Amino acid sequence: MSEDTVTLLTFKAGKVTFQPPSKHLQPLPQKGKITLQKSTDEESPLLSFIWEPRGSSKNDPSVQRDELMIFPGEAEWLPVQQCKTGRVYVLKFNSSSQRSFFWMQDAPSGEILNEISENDLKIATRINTLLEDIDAEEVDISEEQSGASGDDVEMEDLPTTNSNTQQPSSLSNLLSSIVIPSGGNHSNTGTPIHDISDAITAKQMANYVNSLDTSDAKLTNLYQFLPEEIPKTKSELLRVLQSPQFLQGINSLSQTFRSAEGTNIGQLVAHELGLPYRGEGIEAFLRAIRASIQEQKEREREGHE
Amino acid sequence: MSDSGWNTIESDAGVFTELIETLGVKAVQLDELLTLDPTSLSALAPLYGVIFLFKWTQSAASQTTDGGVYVPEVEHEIFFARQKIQNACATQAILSVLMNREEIKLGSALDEFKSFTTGFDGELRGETISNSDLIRSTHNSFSRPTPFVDESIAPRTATDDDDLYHFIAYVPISGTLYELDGLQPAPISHGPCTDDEFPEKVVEVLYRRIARYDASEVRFNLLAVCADRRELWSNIGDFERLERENEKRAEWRRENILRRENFVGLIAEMLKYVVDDVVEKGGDTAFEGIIDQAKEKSAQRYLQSKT
Repeated sequence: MSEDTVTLLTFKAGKVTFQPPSKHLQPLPQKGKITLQKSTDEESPLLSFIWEPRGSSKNDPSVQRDELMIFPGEAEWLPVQQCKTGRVYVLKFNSSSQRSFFWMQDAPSGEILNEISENDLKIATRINTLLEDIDAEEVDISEEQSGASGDDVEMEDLPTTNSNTQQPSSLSNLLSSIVIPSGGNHSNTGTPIHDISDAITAKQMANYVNSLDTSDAKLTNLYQFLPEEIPKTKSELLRVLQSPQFLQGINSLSQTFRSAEGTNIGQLVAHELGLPYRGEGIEAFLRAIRASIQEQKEREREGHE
Repeated sequence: MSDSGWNTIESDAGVFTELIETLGVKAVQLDELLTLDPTSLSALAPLYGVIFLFKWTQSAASQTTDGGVYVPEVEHEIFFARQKIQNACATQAILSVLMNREEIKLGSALDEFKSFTTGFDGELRGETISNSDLIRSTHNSFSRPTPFVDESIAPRTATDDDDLYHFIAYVPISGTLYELDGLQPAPISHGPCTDDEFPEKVVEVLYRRIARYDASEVRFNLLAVCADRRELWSNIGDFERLERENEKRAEWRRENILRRENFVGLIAEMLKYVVDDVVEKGGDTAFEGIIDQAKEKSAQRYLQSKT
């Protein structure tokens, strides 16, 4: 994957974990580095945030690298103010409570070890710029200032920090965030579809219904799937399709497919809905939907002949 | 879900109001408060109690009394129940308000339940709620039926990804402000408090509680348990407000109807039409495009979330 990526920034940093019982942020002694990469093989380039042990070979499958794909504006890189004994930063996601903590391992030149250094600030500025806009122009950080060449801060310099103000539920998820083995590729051919709305959204459904004439027989057909108490009109159908409860229904059905891995729930669904069986999972379900339309059309053609 | 399980239900004033009405409670409703100040609480008089709910985290639920004191000896006299089942905790918090206010007409079923549990300690009361067929089945009637129950699949249990909410009741009982939290060992007294003083005093206590949390991290919400607004407005002849309240009720009713649906039939039918439309316009390529795009989105979703 190195062919498809451009490295935007590299600096030394170690991981910090959270110890739930004691509410301590615990820096891990392992020497590591953080790399921000841009993937170039896609139309819309994504930012990869990678932590990996230093000196490890990218092709060594036993080395665990943490990699996070980050959308523009989705995350921020912030100093942990509560930590007075080391230079700890958090990668904080705006859309979820997910966060990852790191301690800066570049030794600041002659400054106090436990205070955010000027270089840390420069790195932070650069990261936050990239998190906002992946194509932002490089400003002031040379490989030498930021990169993996300076001296290390040793572990002993960085005592454990008590940080009661943090939320354990999010902290306990800390570094459980995506661990992709080194050398793993991002090709998605094997990825099962996670949610029906990844393929077709409720909004698309509503748009489709909206485009129908009020006298369209398709509406009459759809009305029979509305709850009994709901009036059978186009506007009420649209309200249902736009309701949070309908969205939850889509999520719940998707969840049924996901949690049923290794079972034959797809067969059950196909049977219940009168669909041809095309295998398990959401993709197979969508293919079954497709096939049922074709079958129906063929039947209609035969009927006309 | 199995006959003995408690399903997840949505934390919503409309759900809880219909739930207690189904249990037989008369002229009581729940209302969501958008601001935390004594004035907005006073506006809801007669106010029986409030329910504070927040996204459960280990630290947010830590056993601190926010300046109050445990009063184990009153747990026999007031209705206090230890939480036995996570999913039951909203219903349990609401019962903790209802059962402790003498003026509320509980209806025969809950009256019977109340007298049956008189003298029980918190543990036993919690057990009794968990085992009540009536309360459980009413509670469960507000959850979406699971599509395609396959007996071979273990029921899903809550994970860290789920939003687990915790519910705490604050009620003025016989001149004392009590905090009734099923995760605490006993009721917590926050000192003397008349019904009139309740809005002001409970806000003070809640501010102390909220100050413990990182505001950006913990989502919380406040529900008031108060008298049915419709009766109130109708009694004083405020038809404009009565009309608004009726509209709100109609919307609650509609939402509750939709909550009971899993929409499997409608989803499948809509997918047929939209997929057909896509194929009509763009052929096979367009359909495969949708599948590929879905995989791409799922891959990104996967990379973002934890494994």
